[in-house]
Amino acid sequence: MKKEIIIDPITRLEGHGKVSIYLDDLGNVDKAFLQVPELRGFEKFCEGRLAEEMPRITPKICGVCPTTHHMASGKAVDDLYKVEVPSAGKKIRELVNSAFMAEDHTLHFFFLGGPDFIVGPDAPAGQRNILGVIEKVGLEAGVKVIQIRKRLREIITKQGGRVIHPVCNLPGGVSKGVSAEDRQEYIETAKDAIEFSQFTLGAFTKIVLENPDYVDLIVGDIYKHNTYYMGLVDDNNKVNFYDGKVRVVTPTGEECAKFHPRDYLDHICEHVEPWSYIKFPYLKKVGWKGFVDGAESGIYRVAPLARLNASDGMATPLAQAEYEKMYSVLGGKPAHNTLAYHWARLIELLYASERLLELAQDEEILDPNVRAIPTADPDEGIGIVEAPRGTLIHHYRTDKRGVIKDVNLIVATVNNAAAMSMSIAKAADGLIKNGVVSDALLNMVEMAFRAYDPCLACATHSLPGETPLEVEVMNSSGKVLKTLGK
Amino acid sequence: MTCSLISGTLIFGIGNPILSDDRVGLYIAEKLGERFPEADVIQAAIAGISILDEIQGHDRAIFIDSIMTKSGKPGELHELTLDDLGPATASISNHGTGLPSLFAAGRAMKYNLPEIVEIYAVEICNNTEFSEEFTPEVERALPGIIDRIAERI
Repeated sequence: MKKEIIIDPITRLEGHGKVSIYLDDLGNVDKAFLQVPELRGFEKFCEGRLAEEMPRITPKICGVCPTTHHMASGKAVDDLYKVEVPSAGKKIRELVNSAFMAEDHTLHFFFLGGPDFIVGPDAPAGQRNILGVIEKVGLEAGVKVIQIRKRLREIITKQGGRVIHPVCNLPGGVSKGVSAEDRQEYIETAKDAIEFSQFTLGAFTKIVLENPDYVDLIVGDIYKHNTYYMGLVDDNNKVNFYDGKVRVVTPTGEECAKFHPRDYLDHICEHVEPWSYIKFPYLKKVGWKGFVDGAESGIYRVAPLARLNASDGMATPLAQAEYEKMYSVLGGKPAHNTLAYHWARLIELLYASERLLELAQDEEILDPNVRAIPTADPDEGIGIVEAPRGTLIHHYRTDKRGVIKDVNLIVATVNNAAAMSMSIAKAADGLIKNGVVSDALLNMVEMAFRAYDPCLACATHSLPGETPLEVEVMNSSGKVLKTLGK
Repeated sequence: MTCSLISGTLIFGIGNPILSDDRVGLYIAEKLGERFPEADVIQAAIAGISILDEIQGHDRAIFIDSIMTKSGKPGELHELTLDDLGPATASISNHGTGLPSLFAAGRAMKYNLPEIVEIYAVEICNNTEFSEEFTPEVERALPGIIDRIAERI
């Protein structure tokens, strides 16, 4: 985080997503990468604070996925204090996390991914927004989106203490159990969330899968990368968002690693490039071979499609059926088609809803024993969960009083940073020839972006208004040839 | 301004509480809440579409956020409208979904959104460093800014 590179300060500070594409001497694509605002000093900010504050501090890094940071941090402090969370406590955390995953995936599909797949990639730019989505799926769907998100957020508010930055996780468990009355409400919400997920998958089938042009686009070569895939799995190698081991599969789908969160440093390394302060994680045992795909390159991907690729299936029946359907259409597992992330996200929406119902119906969720009080001296703790945008790692070291000495976070989007750079380069490669840049470039880069659903900056700015993507094309000596943006 | 209007007013401070000057919106909203107990006050480190869920059911919304403009001086106060922030666009990320898109989407989906929207943006100089302190330039300007917004309310 210490290295700084010079970029336009206004662009950086407004939090724009900025893409830089470098051309070679012949005017063809040499390399491409995504620029995000650099936030400095997080480690220093945490040093000297009590570790038990971390589950309340880390959600504030990000205004989009605070619940997942709260979960990863909760697990890291359990590990730090060497305390086993009682079963009901684990289930309550997973219940809150499932509600969050369902809420966040819903939001992405209708508000962010929708413009590409529901309105269509060829639609005029002015229609490729949420208004266009509502026009296409109908106002009724928009109302359903509002209602289900509101009810899912109520679960987070009730169990998490507050919706925006939950505060329920403590070392060894959660601060409150589930009441019988609330549980009944959660069951009803979960049932409706399942119905909503099926409605959404139905809309996806009707609008996208029944349109041969869209299917061609998804299964086509666009943004296709033969990479490794990573995700948390349960004891049966089924996708799990909250707990389990991290499993990695090769580009041909064989398991090549399955490790406990504590061992992540044996498997993940971070590559540094002089032109970016983003560190690019890669598989240590395979090695960094540059921005290339294939079995020789340690680049891996995370988030919905990667989680499905890295698993042997979904732990709930309806989601499992959709999982099988997806791979049969995509021609087997693993699927390397980046645009299929949108589809995988909806299968995960269904899984999160089904899992929510399972947890709410579980008698044990009413058990008041939700926290074990830590007694051991703290030293080091690691927590890993699956965020909507991929594997999220929190790692803390403390002194014996539990005062933070050292913090390392690998946030979800960063795991996909190398793959995103490759997708941008691939889009650019087809649209820049001998120094001539096609105007379609911006749209193609945006589509790659939305499939990965990156967190552009773990900051919370809403002003000044929209933050559109900006694409800058530079020649081999770094001179800007063209800037594309809205 | 009558009391009844203030009672339907939402003062919404946006910002990150641990990112130096980014916190101005939260701080100002808290101080205004003390002066206008009839108003609802939200201080939130949130972005994107979640904001819609928070602003429903009010007649008037007053947003307070930080801003960085090319020629702005730290501590300057900008009074803006939704139109000043440009048209709704296709968002690339939930982080980048601005207020115009939120309002356009919310109204299309029949969210019960405030009719009156006022936006106050404080020019800041540091939102990339983790800290609970303001920069001195911004800190010095805050009492005057709070008075000015209070007068407008």
